Parts: sequence; structure tokens; C-alpha cells
Amino acid sequence: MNARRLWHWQYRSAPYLFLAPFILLFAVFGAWPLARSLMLSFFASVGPGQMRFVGLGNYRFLILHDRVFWIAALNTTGFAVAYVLLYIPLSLGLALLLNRRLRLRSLFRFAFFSTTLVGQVFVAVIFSQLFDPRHGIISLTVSFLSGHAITEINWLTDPNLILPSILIADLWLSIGFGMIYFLAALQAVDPQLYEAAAVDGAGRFRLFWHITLPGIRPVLIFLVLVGTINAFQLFELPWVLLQSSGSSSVRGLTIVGYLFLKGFQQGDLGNAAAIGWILVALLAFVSLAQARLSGLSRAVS
Amino acid sequence: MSFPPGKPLLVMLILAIAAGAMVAARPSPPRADLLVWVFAEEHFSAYSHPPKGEKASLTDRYQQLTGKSVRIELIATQAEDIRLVSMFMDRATGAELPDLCEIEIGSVGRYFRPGVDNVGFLPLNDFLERDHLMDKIVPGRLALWSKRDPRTGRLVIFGIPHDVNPVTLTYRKDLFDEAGIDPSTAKTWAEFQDLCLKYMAYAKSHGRGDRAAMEIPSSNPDLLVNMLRQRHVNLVDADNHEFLDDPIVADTLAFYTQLVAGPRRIGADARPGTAGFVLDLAEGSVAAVITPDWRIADIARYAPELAGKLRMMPLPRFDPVGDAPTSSWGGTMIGIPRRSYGPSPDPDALRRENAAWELLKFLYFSPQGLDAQSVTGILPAVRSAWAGQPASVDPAADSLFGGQPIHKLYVDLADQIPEQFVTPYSATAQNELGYVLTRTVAHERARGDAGLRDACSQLLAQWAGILKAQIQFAEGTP
Repeated sequence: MNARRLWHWQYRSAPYLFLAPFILLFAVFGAWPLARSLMLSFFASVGPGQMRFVGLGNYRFLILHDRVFWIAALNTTGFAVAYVLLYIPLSLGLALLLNRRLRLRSLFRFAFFSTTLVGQVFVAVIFSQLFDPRHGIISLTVSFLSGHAITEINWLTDPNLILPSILIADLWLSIGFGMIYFLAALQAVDPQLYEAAAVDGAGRFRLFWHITLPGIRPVLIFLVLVGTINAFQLFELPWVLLQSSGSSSVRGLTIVGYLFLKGFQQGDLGNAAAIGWILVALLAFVSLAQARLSGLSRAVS
Repeated sequence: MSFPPGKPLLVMLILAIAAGAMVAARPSPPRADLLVWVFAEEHFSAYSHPPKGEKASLTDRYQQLTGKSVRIELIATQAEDIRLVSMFMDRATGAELPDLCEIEIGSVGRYFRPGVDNVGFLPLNDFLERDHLMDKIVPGRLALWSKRDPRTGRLVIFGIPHDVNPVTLTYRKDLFDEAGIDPSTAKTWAEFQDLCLKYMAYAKSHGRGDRAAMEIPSSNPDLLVNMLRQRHVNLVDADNHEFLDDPIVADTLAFYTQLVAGPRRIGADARPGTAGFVLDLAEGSVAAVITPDWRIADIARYAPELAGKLRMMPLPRFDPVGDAPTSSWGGTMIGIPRRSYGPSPDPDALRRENAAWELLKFLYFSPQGLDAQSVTGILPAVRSAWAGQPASVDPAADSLFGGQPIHKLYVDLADQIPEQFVTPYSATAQNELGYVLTRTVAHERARGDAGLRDACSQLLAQWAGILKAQIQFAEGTP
């Protein structure tokens, strides 16, 4: 009887025991800080022993009165839209190109993917040199190609060029990541479908539209979601890029950049926590909207 | 025996375990009686490495004198700030809390958010008065590390300045001579701009239209803030009043804008990196740069070929009568993290704070400490270290300037540095001035001088409103 009860206990508790290490770690390093940051967002944190309860005051100020927050939110949203619109076609285009039989195909695949192996800070430092208005290779190339003696292009200080410059650097960094996913998805599409469609007289565009695209749809949706989330969380790249080039335009300020300024420059951790939770809400909304629009649940089923 | 997931994973697993074991087995640094955090590598070396020809470092000598061991930890600025803020929020008083910390000027504002009784650093007024040290420090530099007590109106000092950082203007004498121009005759910024325009016209007529006269950032407001300080304007004062919409700020911004854009432009941005401005100066891409004393070491290190070709002059002014011939750029303080709070503090905490003060005096006021610091080539904030101490500046620096006594120039200017305040909102105000500057520069590039002054006023008024709202919200005032 005892052995049976022991076995029964083991049977019932084993899953929980296996899960326990993860749950414990998540509780300590994930759930508790999240809960604390949510609580913090209802306080004005001034200093030791000087937490003042402000209720929804931080949220109210950010949404109703803080114009800088709105500028940062608009910058980030604009960047995210442009990023996803360029990131997906460029990654897919590159994957389609490298899915063909080319000489040195593996080398090209590695070369395009290798940019994702370096960090955002590293890329920012490199691009701050490339974007140098007078001596940078990008300015010199544009000057050469245009045939005019352009003495300088202010990539990182001209308010109209800042976001496109950040976009170029970020796309250079991340296209390889999307390309690898698309390549894997392309190779999973059944070749017999192409053969059958070709026999039926389908052209290249129809093959792409009716076979390739539906075949890679789950990966496409995944990359759109991940790309959007990454774009909204943009921080290190513009921060280091603009800092190292001495640019201080508000056009380069992102939501997470503003969170950092509030939390670690002004020391207002409560306000910074509120920015973080607004970003969470924004991301949840955008992700859900995207999932619904793209029919993610259908794709999964 | 096989490893089902494969050999590569096995190798990675073994490497991970070995690395983990090495980290775990690494001996922890020896405990010391006093712990000091510094963020600058030069300061770390000055305190913990023996000077040339000697065996004992500054901290060794302190131990010989007092029997107290000292550990200096080099820690990145951001990491130092995040750890300190976290400790201050928790009112940490244990062994992990450093006894002394050096803090960079860009970071210090955040520590002054609480009321004076709750700032994480210990007030030092009583210590300074007790040991008669108040008069030894350049007064303008003490205000920088202080916060006003609204109850008494007095400035409570939380840090001792490491340096003064007077600002001068360094130019390529050889290049200006070639054009027959002497920039040191300019007493005002407007006169200096005229001379620079002549220099650029000469360079252009000799096929060097790519040359700018001076390194002036077109987006970063550091130099603009220096110019404002010359005119005795702090963007935020000790009482947290903002001055972004002050007419002097608009005038200075409009003038600055046409230094970096439009037909009367004389400036160009330096290329990125610490050595960027030195390379520009060495190449002649720019013929003049702003030089706080800490920049001289960079010139000596990266462009020794400029020896004899450089000269230094005080900053031109806007108003030759009222404005200061210098400003101050950068700064470091040393403070004592507070261990004792409230009316009846723990005696052990008080003892430790006193021990920290003694070490602070040794590092910042004693002849040994000042001598060790002189290797950085930066003018200390303690006046007694200036007299008869040409060695406090690298001799290579004077040879760069053709024998011109630049140390003397820095000393002459040090006492004329205008008063400067740092509040929790100073960095925000400077950021916002930078936002405005990029807009006014874009205006000048697109439309020229037409409407520039009005655009400056309007943009500054707009951002002053934003800053005011931010300050009011953060201070909890309606």
C-alpha cells in the first residue's frame, strides 16, 4: 500500500519537481523584478526613503503632459514601420538569391549572416566612422557618385537624415538573421509543388505568389512579429551611434532611450518604470493586432 | 562511451564547465580596511601604481603612515552609477559600500534628487571647516558639487573637486601665420569669427576649400554651454530654476548657429573618437580647437609631430567687460557614501566615515597625493598645488606650444572660472538645448540668417516649457 502511495505521489508531483528549478529562477529573476517595477511605476522615486506614492501620476504625466515621451514614441513607431517594411523584403530577397545554385553560395550566406554575430554597440561604433560627415566612406562615396564636390553630409546631425541613418545601420546588422530563417523555410517548401505548377504553366511570379509565399508564411509572420518587437526596443544602436558622433538631435531618441535618460540620468526610476510598462502595453497591442491581421492562429493550426 | 547529442556539444559542455570552475576558483581580491571606487584609469594608476623610480604606491604609503590598507577599484562610470544608486536606495551600509567614490560631472546630478538629508553622500561642510580646508579649493568648483538646503539657504557640499578644467583655445600657429593672421588679437567671438573667415578664404584660394577654421560641434551643445557659462548663465541654477528661455541663451544660440552653418560658418565637427579632434588638428582639417586641460595629454599622445606649431589663448568673449575669459569643461569629485542616517547614528558608521575623510584628505590635499595626481596633467582644484609646480603638466605639453607656458595660462584662468551648478535637471536641460541646436542649424542651412533669432527664441521657449513641466513633475510641485 505504501509503495503504491509513494508511486502515486511521485507520479503526481514529478512534473512539478522537474519544473521547480525553472519556476524558482523565473520567480526570483523574472516575476519578482517585473512585479517590483510595476509597483515602482506608481511611485516617484526620489532617493533613499523618499518614495512618494503618486498612483497613476507617472502614466498621466507621460501620456498627457510629456511631449518628449511622445516625440520618442513617434520616432520609435516611425522607425519600426520603416524597419519592418524594409527588413522583410530585403531578407527574403537575399534568401531567394542565395537559395539558388551559385558559386561560393556558402561563403555569401556566411558573409551576410556574420553581421548578426557582432553586437549593436560594435556596429554603432563602426557606423559612426562610416557616417562621418567629411571623412566617412559613405559621404565620400555619395560625393563621388553624385559627381559633385559635396564637402560633407550630416548623416547623424541633420534631423531629416538621422532615422534613415539608424535604419541603414540596423538593417545591415539584422538582415542576415532574417535571411537564415527564410532560407530554412524556403528549403522546406516541397519542390514537387513547383514542378506541378510549372507543368500547369505558372510563371515565376505566380510560383512565388502561390507556392513560395504560402509555404514560408509561418516564418514570415514570426519575423514580422520579432522584427516589430526588436524595432520598438531599439536602444543601444542609436544611443552609441549618436553619442559617439556627438549628435544630440531629438529625432534619434527612442522610447527605451528615453526610459534610460529618465531612470539613469535623472534618477527617476518610477517614471522610467512607467515608460517600460507603457512600452509593454504598446508592444502587446501591436503584436496582437499583427497576429490578428495576419491570421497567425490559422497559420499555426 | 558515446555522447548522443554529438561531439561539438560535448566539447562546448566541457569548455563551459571548465570556464565555470576557473571563475569559481579564482581568488577574490584581498579585503582592505578602506575601499575606493574610481572610474578613470589615470586616477586608478595614480593611486595604486608606484610612480617612476619608486616602489610604493600612494595607497602603500597611506598604509605605512596609518596602518590602514586601501583597495582601489576601477569601475566603469555607468556600472558605478547603477550600483551606487541601487545601494543608496537600499541605504546599504555594509562592506560592499565603498568608503570613497569618484564621480564624473555628467553623473552627479542624479544623486542630488533627494533632499539634502537624504543625498547618498555625506555632507562635507563641517569636515572642511574643522580642518580649515575650505579656502584651499577654488570656490567656483565647490558649488558644482553642492546642493542648496532650502531651510537654511546654505550650499551643502557633497564632494571635493578633483580638478578645475579651465578651457582655452589652441590654434595651429603655422597655418594662421601662413595666412598672415594672428588669432590671439581677437578679444571677442565676433572678432575671432572674422579672422577665421579670412583664414578660410586664404585656404580656399590655395586649393584647400575643405579646411575649417575651428572644431565646433554642430549638434553637441558642450561648447555652447561653455560659452553660456562664460556669460554667467547656467541652464538650471542651484534652486532648480531653468534659464533656457533667457534672452542671452537665444542670442548666444543664434550666434553659435551661424558659426557652424551658413555663409559665416567657421566650424566643423571633429571626426568620432577620442583622437578625432587631434587627427583633424594634425591634418589641418581644422586650425583651432577648444582645450580644457585634459585634452592636452591627447594632443601630446596622438600628434607629437605638432611640436612647436601650436599656441594657446584664453577664450574670446561676447562682452569684453563682463564675460569670463574661460569656462570649465568636465570635472570629477570625490565623495563619501553615507553610512550614518538619522539623529542617532551607529558609532561604527561614524568611525568609518571619519576614516574615509582622512583618506580623502591624503589623496586630494596632501603633498604626496597632489604629486601622484600631477601625472594626469590636470590642474587640481587645490590652489597650493599650482604654485611652483610646472611639473604638474607634462613637459611635452609646453614643447608642443613652442615653449609657451601653458600651465601658467591655465593657472591664471583657473580663478576666473564662472560659477557652475549641477542639478538633477542640468543634463536634461543640456540635452534639450542640443535638440534646439540641431533645429536651428537645420534652419540656418535651409533658410540662412532670415528669422534665425526668432526661431531660436521660439524653440527655446517651447523647450523651456517642456523642461519646466518636467522639473515641476519631478519635484512634486504643481
